[in-house]
Amino acid sequence: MEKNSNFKNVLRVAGIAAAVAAVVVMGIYLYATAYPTVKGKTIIRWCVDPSPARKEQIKLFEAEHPDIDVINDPGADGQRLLTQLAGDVPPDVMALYEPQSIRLFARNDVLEDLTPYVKEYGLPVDKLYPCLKPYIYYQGKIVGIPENCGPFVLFYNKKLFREAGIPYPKPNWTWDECLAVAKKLTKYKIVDGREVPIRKGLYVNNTDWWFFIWMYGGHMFSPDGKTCTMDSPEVKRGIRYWADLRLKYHVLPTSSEAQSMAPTGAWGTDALLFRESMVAMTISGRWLSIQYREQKDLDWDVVSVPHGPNRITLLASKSYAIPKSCRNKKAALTFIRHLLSKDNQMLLANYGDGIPTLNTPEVQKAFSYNPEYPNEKNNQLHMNEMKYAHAPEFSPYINSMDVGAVVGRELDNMWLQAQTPDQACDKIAKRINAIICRNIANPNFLN
Amino acid sequence: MSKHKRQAKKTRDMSSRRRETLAALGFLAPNLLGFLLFTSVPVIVSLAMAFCHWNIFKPPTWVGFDNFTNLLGFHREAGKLIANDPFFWQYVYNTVFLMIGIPVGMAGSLIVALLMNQKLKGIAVFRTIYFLPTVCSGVALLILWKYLFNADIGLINKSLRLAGETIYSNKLLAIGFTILCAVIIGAIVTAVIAMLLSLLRWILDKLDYGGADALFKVLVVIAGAAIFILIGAYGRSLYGALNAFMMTPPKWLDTVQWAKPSLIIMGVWGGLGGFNMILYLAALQGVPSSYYEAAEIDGAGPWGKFWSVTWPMISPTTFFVLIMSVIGGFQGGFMTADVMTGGGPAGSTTTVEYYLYQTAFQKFNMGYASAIAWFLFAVIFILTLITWKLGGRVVTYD
Repeated sequence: MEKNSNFKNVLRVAGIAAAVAAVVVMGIYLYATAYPTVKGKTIIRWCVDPSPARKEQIKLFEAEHPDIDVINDPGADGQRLLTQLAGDVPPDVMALYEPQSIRLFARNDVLEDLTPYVKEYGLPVDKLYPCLKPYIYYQGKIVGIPENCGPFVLFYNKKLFREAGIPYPKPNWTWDECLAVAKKLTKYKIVDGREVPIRKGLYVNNTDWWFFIWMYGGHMFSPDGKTCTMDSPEVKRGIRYWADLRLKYHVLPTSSEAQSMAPTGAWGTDALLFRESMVAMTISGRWLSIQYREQKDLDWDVVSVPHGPNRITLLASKSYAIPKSCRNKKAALTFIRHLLSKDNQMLLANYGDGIPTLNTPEVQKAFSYNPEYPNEKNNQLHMNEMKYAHAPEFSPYINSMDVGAVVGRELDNMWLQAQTPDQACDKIAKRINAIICRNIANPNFLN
Repeated sequence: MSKHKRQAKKTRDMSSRRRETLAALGFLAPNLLGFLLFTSVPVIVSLAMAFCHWNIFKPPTWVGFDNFTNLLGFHREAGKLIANDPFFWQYVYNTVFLMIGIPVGMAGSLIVALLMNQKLKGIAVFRTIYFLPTVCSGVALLILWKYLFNADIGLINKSLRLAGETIYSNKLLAIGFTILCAVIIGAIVTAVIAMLLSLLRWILDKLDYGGADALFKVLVVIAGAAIFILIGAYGRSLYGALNAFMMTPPKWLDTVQWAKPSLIIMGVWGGLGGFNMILYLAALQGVPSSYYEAAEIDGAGPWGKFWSVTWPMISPTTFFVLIMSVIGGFQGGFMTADVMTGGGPAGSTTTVEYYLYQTAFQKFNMGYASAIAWFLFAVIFILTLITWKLGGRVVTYD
């Protein structure tokens, strides 16, 4: 009886000891991973997408700076960054993917002003493409450094063009020319007595409304950002054109058709549909080349996005920023400087998921032809398109989530033919203007 | 027993009680600590946040009732009453609409539980099969349902088209099918009306009105007859509507009209054999067989036994399932919106919960999100109280 009781006591003590030990070990682990240290070295954390190029980039940097180690913390979405910043474990260098995100972080005084360091660290901001300004500046201060970028271009399936006897498109082609080609490339088959699309001529993502807003010279916002101008005749005309592509000419798949056509069944992305030759043309950025080049049976090339009276395309990039609370500012600045160094930019040029932002002849040459991928002869086009590239518009008086929700909802109703494109544009303008008015009156809504 | 011995026994009893109390507290401590740290503290903080503007970047600032007036208030614009947050009320409507599935799911769970309560060989296998959706990964099931609901290649629409082609190629078969559907629709509508009338009967009973039962029966018969006459009168239209429904089935998740019903169908399927079925099964197995024997002696048939014995005996379970389902209904919709629909089309599947998530973690407006959370809490609390007050009266505790 007494033995049994002793055993229970031992178990009890062991259990408590194990629990305490677990808490201590967990605490040590959390502390160690939050602030990793190696004697004689500075360790910086780089919050960015885990592209395969990161390893090479880190290797290159560490070879040049043996006193600094870089850890790639994969993923740089808003929630993740915000949690780290709020928890006082800020990344040293973080990627911000939209001008709107840069504005959000800068407006809340989270980002280090890099302007004073331009000279000290030799940041070649003046050598970056001029259209990248929204990714660099906030109220005249340098808050982000873009490393690479990509204007949206049109990928086309050369084999399908050849089979249909259609000449390859030329870089300055118009939307009307594109529509004519897309009509020829759209194919149907009869399944169970119904006409089912087996290929659509063109794919434009539902959220890439910018092409059509800008097509006839329209804008989403007035220059001061205080008015949404989606109800302007130029925008309405562009959105009508977009709606016609899908609803009148049926050259764009509906979301339901895209899902049905995709080999995965319910999911269809532009890349997947294009790779499987289920859409003949798709509008996207340079990053998709990385996927397409691996598919040997896919014969593809790029051409500029068709234009209306206004030649313009969408620009995508990401900026690297340093949080004010960063504990290794010098090392972070050294790393950011390295990202714009010739070596790193050449490495990115060879990897090729975006145009290196350093606009120098040497880097441009490296990007324009990569001997590893001799079929990609048209890389120069991406750089040429930078002349027409424009970052997504934003207003400082409305959250991009609110804009997305309003535009998405009204366009959904347009796609469902519950309202006309003109009605959709009017409603978008009305709703966004109401939110802007509310936010100006009560900035608490704005963040 | 001497005084000394009594004192010693009392001391022993007390120390034993103290030990038990200590042990109980020891066992409760981890949960209590966890609750205090990870539940009650955030709850209190969120209440404070509901009166603040906080975007995480900067310290919270006190805004009083601003968040609540912006969330729940209205203003006049060109003579019209406009909600300060036009999206919010649509999302409340979506959330309530999706809860239509709760009574259907409960009825389904009860029916499945009744079936699973039969003394059959291999019944454990059936029980396992019906419980499978509960143990399967939610995301995987949602992906599967998205595939099923696909307008062109989804199994549902393919089956509907195939059935439609088979049925409507033969006029006689088509008429028979229309009559069958008419009977089913009529029965369902009559059952719903009967349920509502039973509420009237209950009120009359409470008012000591003697003829409540007879009145109930007469009204149900009249309502049933009227419904079937109405369906008969519109038989041709029903024929056409069924034909159209089967030959050109809806684009389920792609249309505003059908997106919510699609999610309800999916929810009912998921709830049929889930925890509700297990609860009902346990409740059914707890009904003493002597009650059924007594009912049989009194001449009750299967239907009579169900209404007079089973239904009252499982009413505490029904009550519990109803309250939990209502609470779950108000808190639901995140996963379906995030995985299947993105809250669309046109915001038609965005629920209050998904809006709360978007506000907090995509717009980083924690104060406003806290106000939404507290509004949700208030609604759930009031509804639970009402259900408790009303439901408590009809629940039979043995």
